[in-house]
Order: sequence, then structure tokens, then C-alpha cells
Amino acid sequence: MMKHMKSAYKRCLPALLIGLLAWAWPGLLLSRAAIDIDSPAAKKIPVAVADPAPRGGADTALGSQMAQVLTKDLDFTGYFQWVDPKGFPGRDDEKNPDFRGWGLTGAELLVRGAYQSSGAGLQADFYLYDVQQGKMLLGKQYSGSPRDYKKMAHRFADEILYLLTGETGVFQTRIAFVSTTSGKKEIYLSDFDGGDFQRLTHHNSISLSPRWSPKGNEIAYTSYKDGNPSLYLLQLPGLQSIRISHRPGLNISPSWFPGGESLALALSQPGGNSEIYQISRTGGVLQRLTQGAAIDVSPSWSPDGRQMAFVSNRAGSPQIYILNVSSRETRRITFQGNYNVNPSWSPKGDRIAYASMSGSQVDIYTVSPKNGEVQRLTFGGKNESPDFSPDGRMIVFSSSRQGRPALYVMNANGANPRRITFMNGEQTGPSWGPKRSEQ
Amino acid sequence: MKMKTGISWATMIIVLLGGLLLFGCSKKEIQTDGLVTKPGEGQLADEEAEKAKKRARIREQELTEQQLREKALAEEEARRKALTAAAGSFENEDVYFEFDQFVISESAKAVLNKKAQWLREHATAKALIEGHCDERGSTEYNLALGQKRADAALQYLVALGISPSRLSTISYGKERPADPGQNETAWAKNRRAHFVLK
Repeated sequence: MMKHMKSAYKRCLPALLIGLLAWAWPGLLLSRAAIDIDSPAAKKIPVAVADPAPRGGADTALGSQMAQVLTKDLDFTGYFQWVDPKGFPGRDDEKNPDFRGWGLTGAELLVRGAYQSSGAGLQADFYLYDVQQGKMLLGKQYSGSPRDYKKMAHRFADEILYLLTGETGVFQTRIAFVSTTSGKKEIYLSDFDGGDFQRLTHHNSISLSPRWSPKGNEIAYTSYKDGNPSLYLLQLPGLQSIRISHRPGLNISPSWFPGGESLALALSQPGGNSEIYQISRTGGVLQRLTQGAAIDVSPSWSPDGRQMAFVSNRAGSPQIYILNVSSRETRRITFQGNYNVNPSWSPKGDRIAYASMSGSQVDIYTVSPKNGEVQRLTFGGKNESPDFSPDGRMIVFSSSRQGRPALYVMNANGANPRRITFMNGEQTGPSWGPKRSEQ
Repeated sequence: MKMKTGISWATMIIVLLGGLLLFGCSKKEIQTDGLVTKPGEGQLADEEAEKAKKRARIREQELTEQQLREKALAEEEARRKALTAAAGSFENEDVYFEFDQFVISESAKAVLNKKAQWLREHATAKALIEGHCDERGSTEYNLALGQKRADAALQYLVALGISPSRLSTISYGKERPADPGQNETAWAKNRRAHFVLK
């Protein structure tokens, strides 16, 4: 983890101007960290986030803004219960928190901090305390420009999640999606929570199926901008669009191979039938992956790249199949319902999310690739295009439950669904980008 | 392309007919002018009578030519209308499919037979076949299904003897519905192969 953090720090330094002087508390995890935080029965952890205190003549508004970001991030996970810090009856000083006073608020965890700003500089210290045991669990110091206050708060929220779950949170990740805000389908980007959205393409055509590369520096997508649906790579940043597959017919439903050096893609044959190929990131065919007279489309690689889930109508209706790449054996994994599409393999490899249509309803399910055990995650409306967060703990999807399709996020067990886009038009086809530390 | 050629033919015929008419009339007027040079006193009445006769003859001829021209124009108009109508039905009449199917049904065959006939009658015409789907199901699967529909229509026409070099396909999946409604009536209209002349 620290190695990751350090390399990320080196690479991000010029762009972010955030210096990270970290001292870590290894080991000493909370006893509750052993509790399965994803269990539907798991109790939410009461947490109070106090406004970091300004030192010297620092801008007091910055403190409450950072506390807001931290509160929103922690709330977003669905693991925490917010405790109003105004209920704190005691008096705090920066060195010694009043644990008895905080205990009276019901909070089990306390986040606080202090910061000083001077012109172009901001230095913020954040702390996480176990209130009941009266000890500090985590302390981090960040320095950068006052503009970076959000990034500092997101980073500390990621650290809290890492301490509790063993994995960094998603608070520095982004989501690519399709939106019709301009009247045409274009590719957009937003923060993990739908905030700070921006339009990436201006093709004035039909642009579809964005898929974030594992390194996070490219988005593969299909567009009709040059006539037939072709595959493009959008470079981040810079937003140059490079066409890599413009074969006659379809060049659709890309899925990045782990590592990002190649992709699976559905290409149509001369007779119009779609088959899945593996192509290099410059567009050359490496190998053909599916055979037969049926439609094969929508590939999704397993995290180790040894298997690939995909949609085929070889049994008469679209169902999810798994290809063992080396043995070329294919097995069907969905047997409930007669229209199962949009497979998305989880980053841990243990589940495949998909959308299942029944009458006018479409709901998201997950299935175990090992034993075929199925779990239903959504109930009502049309819920489509699931994609896992990079830590595998959440799923982003599009839903029409409140009218026009918008993006929602839920925990990977279906709990805590919440809407994240409130833009004009329809938002569909989301792809959750990798952790920034991998970028 | 076909329509434009038809219109330009019509224009050419009109120009030619008009040219002939003008040429014919002016020739006769020149002759008449030649006859009236240096008229004598006694000849005058005769010449006047002769002129009146000629005028009548010219008028008669003009009327006939006018009628001919009108007739030709009407015929051309009818032909142009027929062509436009034929192109219209070629482009407006879609081939429909069942949900999640790309099989050419009996009613689809009837529509495609007409398209094949039209293509035989308009040997230079080239067509793009668009495959479309209703809004249900995934974006990507519907793109694949739309391609199957377009190619099923293409293959049926090729089996009827239409050269594949005159036909091409594209799938729009569920991206361009003919009817934005969210009910079976709209969906049935959207599951289609649509023909566009290139």
C-alpha cells in the first residue's frame, strides 16, 4: 500500500501540488474491522466529523468545507451513521480530544483536524480516533494549494476506508458515461458521486459504451462519427480521439484486457453475425475468441484474464456465457429469465453482475462464476449496465426508477442505492474508472 | 440518384420540345415576312387574304404544337410522379421483425419482393439497409441484432438476384426509433429494416 501511495505521490505531484507527509499506524486495526462490513446485517458505524480547526489566521470556511467533503464521502459508502458534531458537549483542544464528551454524542469514531493556510499554501492535518478506546487510529498531513482542499479530504476518506476494509476507498475515482444532455449521445465524465461532470466528446453523432482503461489514461468507446459504429480511444487528459477499429459493420462493446495492452471487441462478419475478437490497443486482431452462427457480444474479462464473460443468443435468447480462453470451453452461467445481458466481472473475480429483463422490468443480478448462485440486487424500474467500483464494493448502473434514465450507485450487495446524476437528458452505460493510485 | 436523373431527363425533354416549337414558328414568320416585301396595289387584297390564311394555318399549327407540348409535359410529369412515388414507397415501406428475431417473415418477404422488383426496374439504384430494434434490452445486444436484421434483408434480396454490390448495411440498434413511444405499437414499428437510396 505504502509503495503504491509513494509511486502515486511521485506521479501526481506535478499535477496536484499536494505534498503528502504521511505517518502511518500499521497493524492496530479496529476490532470492528474484522466484522464483515458488506453483510446486510452489519451495523452502521456512528462517526462524527468535526470541522478541522484553523490555525493562526486561516480561512475558517475551508474547515467546514473539508468536513463536508469527508462527511459526504463517508456517508456515500453506506457503512457509517452520521453523528452531528454539534451534540458534542465538551471542550476540545488540538492535542487532546475530549473522548468522554465525544462518547456522549454516540460517536464511535471521530474525525478531526487542523489546518493553516498562507496565500498559495494550505497544510491540513487529519486524524481519526477510536472514541471508546480513546486512541488515535490514523493521522495524515497534506500540503498543497487551497484549491486542493477537496482532494486532501478525499484522500483522508480513502485512508479511513483502507484502515477499516483493507482497501482504498473510491473517493478519488471517476465515472465515464453516456448522456443526451446536448440532444445527441456524447461521452461524459464525473466524480465517483456524480459531481463535477464534464462533457468529453463533441461528435454530434451517436457515441456509446465508454470503457475506462485499467491505467485510467484512456476511454475506449464506439461512435458513429465516421459512418459505421467504430472503436475509438479517447486520451486523458487532452481528449484526442484515436480511431483504432473501423472495420465494415460493427466495432462495438469494448472490454479492456487486464493491464490495458489489448481489448476484446465484437466485430460483425460479412453475413452480419457478431463475434468477439481480441485486438491490440492499436487495432490489430490478436485472436478470435468466439465461433458460430449466433450473436456473441458484450465481453467482460475476469480479473486474471483467463476467462471472459459475454452475451450470446446461441440458445435462442441472450444469456451470459463464460469462455475459458486457453481451453476454448464455453459454459452458460445464467439460466433464470430469457434475456440476460450486460455482464460485468467484479474486480475480485467472485461475482458477475448483469441485467435481466422480465416483461417491462429490468433488474440487476449477480451470479457466482464458480457455482452459479444468483443474487438479485434491484427491484423495480429498468436497471441496466452495471459496473463495479475498482474496490468491488459498489456498483454503478443506470435506472429509470424515477423517470428518465439516470446513474445510481449501490453497494455490491444491493444495499443503499442512491442516485448520483441530476443532469438534463438521459445518463446510461456507466464505466467506473480505476483508482487514481493506479493512474 | 435515380430521382435526380429522372428530373434532369424531364428538363431536357421540355427544353428540346420548347426549342423545336420556337424554331418552327420563327421559320414560318420569316417566310411570311419575305412575301410582304414590295407589295403592289392589286396584289394587296390577295396577299392580305393569303396572309390571313397563313395566320390561320400558323395558329392551327401553334395550337397543335401547344397541345403536343402539353401532352408531353403531362406525360413527363406523370412519369416523374411515378418515379418519386416508387422511390417513396421503396424508402418508406419498412420490413418488420418480431421481438429479438431477425427471421424474414411472410409479410416481410412480400415487402422485400417489391423492393427487388423496384431495384430490377431501376438498375442503377443502390440501397443502404438500416437495421433497427425496439428500446428493450441492452444497447450492445441490439446493435448486434440490428446488424442481423439488415443482413437478413440483404441476403433475401441477393437470393432474388439483386447484385450484392448494389446493397450495403448498417445497424442503428435501438438508437434511432421510428416511434418514440414506449408501448407494443411503437416497438413493432421500431423493429425494422429501413431502406435508403444511396
